[in-house]
Amino acid sequence: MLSSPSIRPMPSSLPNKSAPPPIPAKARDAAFQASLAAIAPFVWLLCFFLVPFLIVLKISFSEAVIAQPPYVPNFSLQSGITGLWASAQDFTRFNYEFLFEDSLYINAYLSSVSIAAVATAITLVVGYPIAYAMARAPAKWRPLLLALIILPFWTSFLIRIYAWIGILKRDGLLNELLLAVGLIAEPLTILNTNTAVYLGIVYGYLPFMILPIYAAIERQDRALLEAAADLGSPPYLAFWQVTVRLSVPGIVAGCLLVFIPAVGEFVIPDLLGGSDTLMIGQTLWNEFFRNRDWPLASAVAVLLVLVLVIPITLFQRAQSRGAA
Amino acid sequence: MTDRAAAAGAPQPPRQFAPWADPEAKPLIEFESIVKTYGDTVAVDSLSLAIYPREFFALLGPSGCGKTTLMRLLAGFETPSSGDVKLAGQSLVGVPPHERPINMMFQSYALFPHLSVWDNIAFGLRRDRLPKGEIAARVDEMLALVQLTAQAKRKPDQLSGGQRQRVALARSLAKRPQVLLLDEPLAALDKKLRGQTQFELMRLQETVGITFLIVTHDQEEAMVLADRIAVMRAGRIEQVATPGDIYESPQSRYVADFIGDVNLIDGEVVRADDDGVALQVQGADAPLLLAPSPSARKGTAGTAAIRPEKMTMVPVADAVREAGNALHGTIADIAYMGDCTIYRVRVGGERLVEVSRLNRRRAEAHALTWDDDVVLTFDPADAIFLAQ
Repeated sequence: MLSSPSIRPMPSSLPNKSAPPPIPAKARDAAFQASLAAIAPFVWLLCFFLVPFLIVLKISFSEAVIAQPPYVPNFSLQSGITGLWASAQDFTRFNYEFLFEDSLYINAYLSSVSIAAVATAITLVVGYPIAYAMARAPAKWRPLLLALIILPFWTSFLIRIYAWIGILKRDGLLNELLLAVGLIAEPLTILNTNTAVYLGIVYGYLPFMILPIYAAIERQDRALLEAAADLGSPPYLAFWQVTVRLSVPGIVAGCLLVFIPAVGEFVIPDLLGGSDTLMIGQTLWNEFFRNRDWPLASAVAVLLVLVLVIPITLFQRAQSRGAA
Repeated sequence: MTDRAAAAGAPQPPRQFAPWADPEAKPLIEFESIVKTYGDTVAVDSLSLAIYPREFFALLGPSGCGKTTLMRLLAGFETPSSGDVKLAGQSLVGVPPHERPINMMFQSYALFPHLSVWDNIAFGLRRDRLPKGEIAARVDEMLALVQLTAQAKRKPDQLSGGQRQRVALARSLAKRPQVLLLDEPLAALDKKLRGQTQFELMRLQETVGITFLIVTHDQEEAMVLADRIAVMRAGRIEQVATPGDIYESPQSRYVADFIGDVNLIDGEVVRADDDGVALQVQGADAPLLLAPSPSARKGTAGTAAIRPEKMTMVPVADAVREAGNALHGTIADIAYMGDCTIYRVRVGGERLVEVSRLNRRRAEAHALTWDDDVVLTFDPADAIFLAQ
């Protein structure tokens, strides 16, 4: 077991310290592939989000005409840099100015945000217990429960919302049931009210609330709850301090997944809402298809992105910074 | 390890810490005929056990032996199917975990990932509604105790495994519980760090003077840490004793085999009296002489248990002819371990007997090698008789 005194043979080829060894070709290939994989999502976003958005942006600065297509661009890339600069001098901000002059648009924005916010809150209240029950169900049941949550997606969204008309209308299933049970004497007017819109949004977007919350609760270490109890927290407090607190990222994700599409929702207010239901999605649709005012409709869309995406992006950045 | 009174008054002769031997001593924790079943499985089978104040007690056994269930019964996460758990004479049955003056250090540490080290340690103190100043003082004291003052603001995922382990320990000690439960506390640490931490744990237990109950499957950990060890098997306790007694005087084949290495040689008792036990084994000319045992009956089957380090091995040529235990064999395997070398000697055809030799000198001449004929001898006092 004794080793000979420390006379080690010198390595025959000592690496030259002054010149860094060349990077092997294989490593370069791997680095290239890695950067390619990193770029791919950006290319996707560029092609399918940024370019369409820029087209909409361009239309929003155009003038409406009765023609095919129904707008005249105020500038074109063919005119070169000088041409672009010239057209920038007399930019048509008309569409945007109009949005603020007519109170219809402001009201539609505000009403959309408020309907979406209330509906999101209701969805959270309904969705959290479901997500919690699923995450705490025996492990063998969970795949089935998840499948049940996703099952409605196999049917068209439009058809499912249509089905609610049959349920909510004056002589619909709900009223007939309530009358038969004797809870009400007169049929309720639910269809074509904001209540129906809330119901529709909660129904339609519930899976988007449940899934992220379920994921957040399911991966929690159950020992954390025991630790809280061990350190003196009664069950309700331990639930709040551990389960709810640690599912906040899931709650935030779920709320954003419900709130953002709900603000721009068109189908639900159109089918279930009444004449007094005012949402920006309908306004947008009206401008595009009834008035054929593409530039104004585009301006509505661009402003929607600005008022929605920018605050949410900032909020999420603040959140991730707070977590780090 | 057990004479902790010696540390306090140096000139006095060391007094043994052995409250279990004192009939006047009142146990702190009592399990009274505890049964815990899950459906058809019996996790704990009518088990009784008393643990005394300031004891460092280890529950040792393979996974599934019920040791964790027993600990969770004490913490309040499980309720006994029958029987009683008492703390300082008071029954704990029906008392929820958050009202028990017992804290637990979890195997996974279960640190709150959203809270800093400081807030993790303060968690339990806040539940007690202590004044803010006292909480801060207590947390700082705990941080100093586990040497993590500099890491107080970090989140658990910014700590190393050893640091997390210390946060978990500090958090469970912060409330100054009457009993601290440690569930495999060192399992997640590497070997070197585990050795260090074992000594830190012992120092800590002597400092805080809290009763520690540790659950482990690592016999070395139990031996190093505990004042007493309960060796468990299938929901029952096989033996409760000090580490020394568990190792030197195991009461069953299971305990002898579970703790350390041992040669178990089966045979038949041909003589049993106050001088010792004589066991006739296959492949030996004369019966083996073992230490006296009250459980040995002439004519019954039994087992001789001899630790590898308690055997002497000499080449056949050097063997001294004398009356006494001698097993003839040839060396089948040699394992060099650094501090010692383990030889496996084939005795009487089939049986392999393990012998270990300390390597007291560097590059000691290893005269013995494979296939050498050797004689193994041992003192009857070092060989234990185990009834079957």
